[in-house]
Amino acid sequence: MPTVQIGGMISSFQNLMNNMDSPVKLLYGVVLLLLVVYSPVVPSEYKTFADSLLGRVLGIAIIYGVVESMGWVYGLLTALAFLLLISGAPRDDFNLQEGFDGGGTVSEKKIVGKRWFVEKVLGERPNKIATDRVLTTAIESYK
Amino acid sequence: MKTTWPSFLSFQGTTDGIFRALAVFVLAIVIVKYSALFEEEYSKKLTDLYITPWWRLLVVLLVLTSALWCPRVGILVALVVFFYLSDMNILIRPFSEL
Repeated sequence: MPTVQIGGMISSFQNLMNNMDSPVKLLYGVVLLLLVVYSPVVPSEYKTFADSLLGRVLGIAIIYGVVESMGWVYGLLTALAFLLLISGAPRDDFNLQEGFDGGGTVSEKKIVGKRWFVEKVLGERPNKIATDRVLTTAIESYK
Repeated sequence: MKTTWPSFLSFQGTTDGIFRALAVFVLAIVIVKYSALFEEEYSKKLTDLYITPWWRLLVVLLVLTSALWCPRVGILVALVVFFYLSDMNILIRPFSEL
């Protein structure tokens, strides 16, 4: 009669294999893991879409579907990845609006010549200059 | 009349239950002290380690393992990790892109 080993490393490995999720779930988990780890390098177009109304509705629906079909642990990871995508999306109100758009009384001028040093350092590419003259007055002393 | 906790808040009186309650307590303090305030700085080690991908991988694995251990701990760890990753992502972004 052949000797059968019980317990030990083989038994633990068999238990692990029996209790593992399906390959599809594990693959999805790995993709989510990579998405969370490398979320800063996801292109901003995808982040902007995730931050839109349609993207948010889709995201919540996907999270709900994952929780219902794969379990709440995968749902938690999906929610984490989705929230990181949304939080990393560029905000239009910070990026595209000029701080000083000229209004109507101030004359706008086209940019002529090379970029200023401070523009190069800060990575700014202004479209127009509202004014290139600054009027100052002397400080009046208190009496 | 004996008052009992709701089932989702109750912890068993075993060592495991005590450690779960302790973990929830510590994580709640971390969330209130660090995660809820953007201005509260993280330690230098946590800031330096963020740029290495394997550290972020370990952090996400921490979420997974804690969620498998106890759902309450897992949810709180996920909150802490989300705020940490989100804050670091903003802090390492160049000033011109903010």
